[in-house]
Amino acid sequence: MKRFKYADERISEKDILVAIPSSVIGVGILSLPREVASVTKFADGWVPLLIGGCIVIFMTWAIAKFASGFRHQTFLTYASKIVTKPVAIVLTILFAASSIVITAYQVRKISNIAQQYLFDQTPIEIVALTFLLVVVYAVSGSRAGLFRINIMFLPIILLIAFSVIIFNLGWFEIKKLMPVFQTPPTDYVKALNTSTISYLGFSILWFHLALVGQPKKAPKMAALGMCIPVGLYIIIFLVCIAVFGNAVTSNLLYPTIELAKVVEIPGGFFERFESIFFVIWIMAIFNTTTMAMDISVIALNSIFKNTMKLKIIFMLAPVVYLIGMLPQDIVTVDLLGAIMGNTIVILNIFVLLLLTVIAKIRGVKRNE
Amino acid sequence: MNKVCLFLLCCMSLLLTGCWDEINIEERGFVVGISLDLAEEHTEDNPMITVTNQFVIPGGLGAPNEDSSGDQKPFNNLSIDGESVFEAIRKMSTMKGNAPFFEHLQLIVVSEELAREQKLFARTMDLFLRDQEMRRSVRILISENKAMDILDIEPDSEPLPVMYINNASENNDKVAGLLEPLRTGDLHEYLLEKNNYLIPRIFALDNEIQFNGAGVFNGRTNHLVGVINDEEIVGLNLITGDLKGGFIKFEINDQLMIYEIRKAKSNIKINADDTNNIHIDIVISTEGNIGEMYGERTLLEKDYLEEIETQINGKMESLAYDVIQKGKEELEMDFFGFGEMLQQRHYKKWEKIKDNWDEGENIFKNTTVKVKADAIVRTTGATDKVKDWESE
Amino acid sequence: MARSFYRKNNKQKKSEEENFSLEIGTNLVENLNKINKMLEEPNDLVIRKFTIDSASHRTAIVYIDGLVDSNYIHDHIMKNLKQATELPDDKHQLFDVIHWEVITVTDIELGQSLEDVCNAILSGKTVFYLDGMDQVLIMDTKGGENRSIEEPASESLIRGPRDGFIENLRTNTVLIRRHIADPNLRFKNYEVGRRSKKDLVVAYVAGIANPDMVEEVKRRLETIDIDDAPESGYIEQWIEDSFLSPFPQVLNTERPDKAAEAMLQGKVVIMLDRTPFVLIVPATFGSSLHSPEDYYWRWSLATLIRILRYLAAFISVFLPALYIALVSYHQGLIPSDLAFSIAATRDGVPFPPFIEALIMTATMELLREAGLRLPTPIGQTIGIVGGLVIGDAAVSAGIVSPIMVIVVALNAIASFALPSYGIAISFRILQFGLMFAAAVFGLYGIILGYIMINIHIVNLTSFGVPYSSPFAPNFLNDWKDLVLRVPITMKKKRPDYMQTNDQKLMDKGDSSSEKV
Repeated sequence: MKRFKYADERISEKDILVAIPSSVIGVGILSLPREVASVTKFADGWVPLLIGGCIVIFMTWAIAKFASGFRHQTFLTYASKIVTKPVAIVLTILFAASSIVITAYQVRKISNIAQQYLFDQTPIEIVALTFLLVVVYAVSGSRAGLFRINIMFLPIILLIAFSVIIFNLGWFEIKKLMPVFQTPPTDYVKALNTSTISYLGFSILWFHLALVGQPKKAPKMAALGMCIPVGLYIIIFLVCIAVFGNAVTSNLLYPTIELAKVVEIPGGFFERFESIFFVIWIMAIFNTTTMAMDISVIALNSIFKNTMKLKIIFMLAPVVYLIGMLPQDIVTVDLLGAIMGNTIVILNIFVLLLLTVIAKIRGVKRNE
Repeated sequence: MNKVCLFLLCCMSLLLTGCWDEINIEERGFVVGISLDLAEEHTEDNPMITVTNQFVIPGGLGAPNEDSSGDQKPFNNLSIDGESVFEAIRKMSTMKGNAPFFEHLQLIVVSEELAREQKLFARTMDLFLRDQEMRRSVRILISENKAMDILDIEPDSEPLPVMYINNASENNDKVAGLLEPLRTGDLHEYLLEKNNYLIPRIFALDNEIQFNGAGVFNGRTNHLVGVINDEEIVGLNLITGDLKGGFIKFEINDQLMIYEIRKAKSNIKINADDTNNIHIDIVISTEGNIGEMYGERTLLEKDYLEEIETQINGKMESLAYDVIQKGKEELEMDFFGFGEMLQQRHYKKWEKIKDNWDEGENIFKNTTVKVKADAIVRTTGATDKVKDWESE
Repeated sequence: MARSFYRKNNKQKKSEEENFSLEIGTNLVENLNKINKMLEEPNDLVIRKFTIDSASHRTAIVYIDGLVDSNYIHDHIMKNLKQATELPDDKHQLFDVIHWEVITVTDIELGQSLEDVCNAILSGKTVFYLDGMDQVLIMDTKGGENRSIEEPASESLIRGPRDGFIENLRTNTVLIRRHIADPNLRFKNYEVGRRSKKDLVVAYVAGIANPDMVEEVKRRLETIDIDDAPESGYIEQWIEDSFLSPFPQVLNTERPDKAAEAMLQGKVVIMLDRTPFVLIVPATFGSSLHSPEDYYWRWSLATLIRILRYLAAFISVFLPALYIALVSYHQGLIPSDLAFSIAATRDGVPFPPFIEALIMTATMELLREAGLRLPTPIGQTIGIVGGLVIGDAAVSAGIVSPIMVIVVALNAIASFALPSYGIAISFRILQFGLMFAAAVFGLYGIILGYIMINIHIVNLTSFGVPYSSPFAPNFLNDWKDLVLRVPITMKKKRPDYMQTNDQKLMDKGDSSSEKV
């Protein structure tokens, strides 16, 4: 069937601009203020958040720049050209595996939070299963559709985030942000680690950039897109501190949701804004999860070329579910998240360096 | 077609799962207020508390279509003893058909008796911050006598005593001697930090409640150590600048006059060069108008207005000095937030002295506090004089 | 392709069965007998035999009574033939003279086969036979009774043209022509239905509409192989992208102004004979919520109305589900005072909110359906009386709570406020699904349902155009005419998502032929 130019599996750079924040903003921000506040003093957490953000923006730009050099080529194709096929396959599998873990982590985390804020008796297994099924439904659709979903949801997500911030203005106490710069430098480094992990989500660039029709502007767009979560995280962190103070922020499990709990809607149209906030935030988590799952689907599909996409998805789904349900308690889940985050950061940096250096040495041509 | 199968699968899974959490609205036992008292059989080693829940009986609220509601009381108080609040609440579900539901909780009243027990107050508050059903905006009050009596009053204006108390506590913009209501969210902060804090105090009198000062809590042990009265709260509010409105009563030419405060601001400067002799300078500036006067002299004279302002300043300064005196001499505690300010502005010094601020060496006691008030009378109300006895 | 293959097949079959040649012979009587035989001597077939030029030539005209305009036949055929004199003797010359000179019917063509003749007769044309000729003249004399042009009942507006499409295709194309007097306006003719042989016209403005899309529409239309298409709904269901989707992927309208406006946006309009409903493709979610009146009022009012319409869409999909979720799961979200009063009113209602909502929405649907079937005055009464009486009685009988009645009534009103009946129906379907999701998972179920609807929408295309455009893929320029409706002077381009060949809607200074 003949189709229009844009209705095929091609996406525009603008979609990358939206997809990056969509795949970054997820469950991370809900607990991030606690993690940062507990290792820094007062409101100093914004410093590591900003530095981490800058590092990540640079990495995003670098990966996009590198990947966009190989137009319309899958990661496996160009990696094979640079570092031979077996190595490329190993790298692809590593990416696939890490994305599976991200998916599982998100699914597990959302069920935990949903159980805490929306349910009481409903078992998390069921909450996770229904969420995963919806994710599977999305991933099994068209890939361009995923990007369209990102575009449709991101404005709503940002809107709800900013409405939480605005409704909290009344509870601001600027004095809680004082004094500044009292954190010892070693703690900044600790916080930097936490903050960098929270910005994960640029792995999509390795795989999805192949879909971009004209990847010339993609690096700029990706970096711009990364600025959105960096800005949002810093603002949310500062608002948390200004409203709760450092002591409370570092003790609340999900300070961002508690922030919504403080909100009193003018006019009293409805109460308990945090339920609304979290329910809408599910869309953000959904975006992150689908993008992560799609990475693993693309990665595996590029290795097993003859297997149908749907088959891969149906085989992946139980794996994701099992990994997600494996940890027993919330501490283990967080541990899983931390390990996963560090691994992915290292993996990305490693792959970027490896490919760039070897490509330079072997003089692999890019089709720019 | 695969998509279709998938969709059906999703639907099926929804079908097969049950409705674990479905509890219909009429089956909820809405709790709007909780009071905590020490139980009768309370001993030092075995702290027993009496938890009283105020359940709403929706039918008694006079819903529009119910004509049969009759004289049903709109609320129902249920008390039960327990070692922990959670335990007591769960016990209550067996006594009441509808299990207690706390998402509409508005008020927690703690008896002074309980609050004076070391650590017990903080312990009982844990549930109200930990439990998911609790909001962060539940108000907390200290009751002079039995807390459960507060929930038992039957006010004329509102069907529910809790709503009545809530409305009354919001009038802190009319009366200067009323603290801003304390929410559980704020309490969370107080409990985690070491600063001393205040909780409004209340007592019941023949189906009416009255606010009466505030309880001063020690920030380290989190128990009630003293009480300040309404006058002192006015002074405190002037110092902290938290005054939302209110009035100052003073005398001029032996005649009573009321200065209504519209706007109040305080500017505190702390000089911590010498940690043994910290200087605190407080400038209170207010704007307002004459609310009522007993005298008959015309107000529209520059000199007279200035004289009035001087009188107001004097009154406000003495109110502030009184409460500072009380903090320094009687309670030996800083509940003004000076410590916090030191932390914010002189962090290095504060780190050194924080353990000896209002305990140990008690540096606070030796601080020099100076208060200067600057009141402005913007207008005299709608009229200058309403009576003129001299002409008779 | 399929159609012509079928036709061939049909022809063979017929000739085998009846065993007579399908060629037109030179003998007039034989020819007329053939027609009679083929149609099995229908009683409305009129065969008028007569002679011309002082009885020297035998001729006949054949038509079906009622399908033709008999006055027209009289004035332009019979009268002329009878009065014609000094005609040549040679049959061929005579035939040509009649063809070129005598007959004054405007639309005239030659017919070669019996099949041509049959089709022509059945579609209201008149056939002229001349003895000794193996050719006939087919003259368009369509006529008969037609409804007059009046305002469409299903899409009435306060402000806007009062004309509407009618059952007659020719009239409909004329109505469009009157709106767009552009030489690039194209009408492509198709015939639909093995048996019904209905005319179908694909209308678009060449130079605006994307040729790929026009081709796609034509390709799909050519695959149609049905006996009859009594209404354009048949066509719609045959050519739509996904029959599983609850969303209408083809818009329909009775308003020529709406159809014309769509064509100027680069859309394609499909018109079928014998129905006033024309189809507009492609459809997008945004355009389903637009009404032509949006453009007739000033922009501020139009924008406000559009926002209201999105609100109505939200209410008609989500309100009952939200009620269920709030009342049986998240009572904390309801403001305290309201929560207590809902609890009081629900005291004694024996059903859980889901069943309660199901009962009431089912009742509402029944009332709606019953009101449609009955004559207008009674229908309205049923709607009002039924709604009031049943609602009130249900409340006082303690079957449902008063809040539920408000919820259902609001929901029904919101769905009536939507400009397109098709989208309103699809929302009604979704509403039941979401009610169910809410009954099982509360707000979590609703949001998962919402996400699933969105997944479905982004994967849905209508003739290659994503159903979710211009939301996503995002065409910021098109947002000027989506929820907002910017002042006409600021809307300078045709919708980007239509990928039109001529993007500019206005450019001052350059008056090209395609300026509208």
